[in-house]
Amino acid sequence: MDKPMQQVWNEAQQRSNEAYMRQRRVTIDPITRLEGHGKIDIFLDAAGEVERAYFQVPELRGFEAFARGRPAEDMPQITSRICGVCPLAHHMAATRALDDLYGVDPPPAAKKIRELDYSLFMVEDHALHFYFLGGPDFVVGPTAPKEQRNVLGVLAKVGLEVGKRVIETRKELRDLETYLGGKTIHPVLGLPGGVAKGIAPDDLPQFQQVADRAVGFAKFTLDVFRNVVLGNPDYVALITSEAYTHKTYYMGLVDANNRVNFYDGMLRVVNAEGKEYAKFRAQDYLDYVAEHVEPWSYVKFCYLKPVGWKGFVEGQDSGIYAVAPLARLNAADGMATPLAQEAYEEFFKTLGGKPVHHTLANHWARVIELLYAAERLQELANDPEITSRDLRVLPTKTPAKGIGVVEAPRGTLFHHYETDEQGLITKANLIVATQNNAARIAMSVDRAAKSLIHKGQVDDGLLNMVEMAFRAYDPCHGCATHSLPGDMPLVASIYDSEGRLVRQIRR
Amino acid sequence: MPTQREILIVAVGNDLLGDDAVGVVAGLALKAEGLPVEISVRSGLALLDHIEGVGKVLLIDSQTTGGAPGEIEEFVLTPSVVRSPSPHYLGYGEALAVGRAVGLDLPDEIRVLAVERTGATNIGAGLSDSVRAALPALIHRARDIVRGWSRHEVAA
Repeated sequence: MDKPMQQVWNEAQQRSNEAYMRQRRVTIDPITRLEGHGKIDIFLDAAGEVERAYFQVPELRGFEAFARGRPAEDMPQITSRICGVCPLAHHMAATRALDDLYGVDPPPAAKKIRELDYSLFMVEDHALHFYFLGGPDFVVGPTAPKEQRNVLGVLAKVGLEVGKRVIETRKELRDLETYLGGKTIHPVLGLPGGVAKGIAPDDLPQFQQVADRAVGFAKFTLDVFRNVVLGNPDYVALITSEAYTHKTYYMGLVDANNRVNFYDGMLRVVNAEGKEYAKFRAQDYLDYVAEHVEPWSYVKFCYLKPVGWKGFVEGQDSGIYAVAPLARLNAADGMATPLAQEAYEEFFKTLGGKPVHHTLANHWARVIELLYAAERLQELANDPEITSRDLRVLPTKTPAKGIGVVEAPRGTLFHHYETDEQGLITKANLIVATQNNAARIAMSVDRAAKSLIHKGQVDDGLLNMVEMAFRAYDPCHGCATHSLPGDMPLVASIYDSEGRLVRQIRR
Repeated sequence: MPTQREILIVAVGNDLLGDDAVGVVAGLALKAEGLPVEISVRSGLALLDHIEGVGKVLLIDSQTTGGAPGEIEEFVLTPSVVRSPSPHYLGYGEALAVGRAVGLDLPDEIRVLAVERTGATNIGAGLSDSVRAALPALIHRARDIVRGWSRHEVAA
């Protein structure tokens, strides 16, 4: 975007921000925010066209103050408690930050056990999310009646026995996670320099069998996606439509061969043309990632520091980037396992080469990653070293600063701790996946609303099409509490050009 | 003493997030009395992990229905229409509906004790005074429900 255009955009944005601020007392109620509501606020102009749409997610608060003064080695347990959705992702990121803090390199078997545990978790999470998140939009269909657009509608189409398989697969995986993480409320596997528990040789066959079934299940799921989604030209047209497309940077963890990795490696960023823009160690993240604050949201929007914040705009000059499955596939050169690699090639071939900018392709990317996680689980369960008893290197270094990163199901997760020489926390910072994605999600919701809502016409179907834009990212509301009723209500409010609330739709 | 498979208390909440901890605090107290309790910090579909194969379940959690903080509501859980797009934000009724639909062996009764909480959910905030004051009544009622079930089991 050239300079004058940029200015026009930013001025328009400023105006809508001001309009928003006039409404803020009414539209952002701090209590509902904390209860975990998703909120979409759509402002129409005099002609009934969308001037700006905002999507709000709750934000984690108070963590740093809570962490200060506590022993760093408590962080894998404490951080796994802040989120009821991704406890293991936080546990692993914190454990890796402790390795860095104490300057210890865990023995190979310990790394493999951690990665095996993490693979169990990724299979579990990705499998569920395909059937719950992508399924209603693509298996049931985006314009199906809303009472069918849910996981039960998906199961009615693919067969209830598939549903049972999803639930049973999940339970098997969870049982093995419990084997490694302990029967306590929170995982207790990771320690600085290693793991607390190994795998007994007698128990290994169970891991191998579950891994085999997981690969079978992932292949089956990919077939469902191929048949149902790719077999329908309307769906492919929807995935590739302008309403759901943004040309941004992408970030993801890669191994030494630039292949997707969830647990270890370097962070790689590619630009909107798919060329490598940066590759850096987790420890250097502050040179690359910065946060921007907007008056209408409590979430801090991450952007690439060297490129800079240019507003909610796409393209090479704007520092906005994405994380999560699609971003990981874009940021890598391939997958490290054979079946996932085949699926990776098919993905880019079908969608016109790298990078893919279509947000809805996240659902497909998620299934490819599911297959990778299952294959990686199988590799690790059959690795001769996995039953080794050499599980820990004891830390001896005086701690000062530790940074760890993993790929959570929803994207890159940073943990950063600083301590005194006793190992008590003096500073703590977390950047969660949804924060990395926040700017692109905001653009996606705005774009979808502008493309789909015209002349003031907003119905349930249109709202669902707008929701689809952010559902694909699977944004985390993990800091929302577990309180009843337990579901995550979504409230969409539509305002006319005078700022009057004209319609409110709740789900 | 009822066995885990016949009767189970599932205490749900996050002990770091203000009043969201109430279920966990009550659950730990009941566990200390020797009652069968599982504590869960997971949300959504994870409920099914705890209740599958159990005869009767008592769920203890916080809730936000707009009532007075500390108020205790008791009701029997029934399956509800599934609306949530995410497995992690399924309500209990939705999770139950999914579990039933795929034919899991689920309890014939799920009773819920829910305490109305305040909105304060800063990490490490602790329980509010009004919710803390409700704890004795909550624990008492939970004990009564489970004892009632146990007597029934023995009589049968």
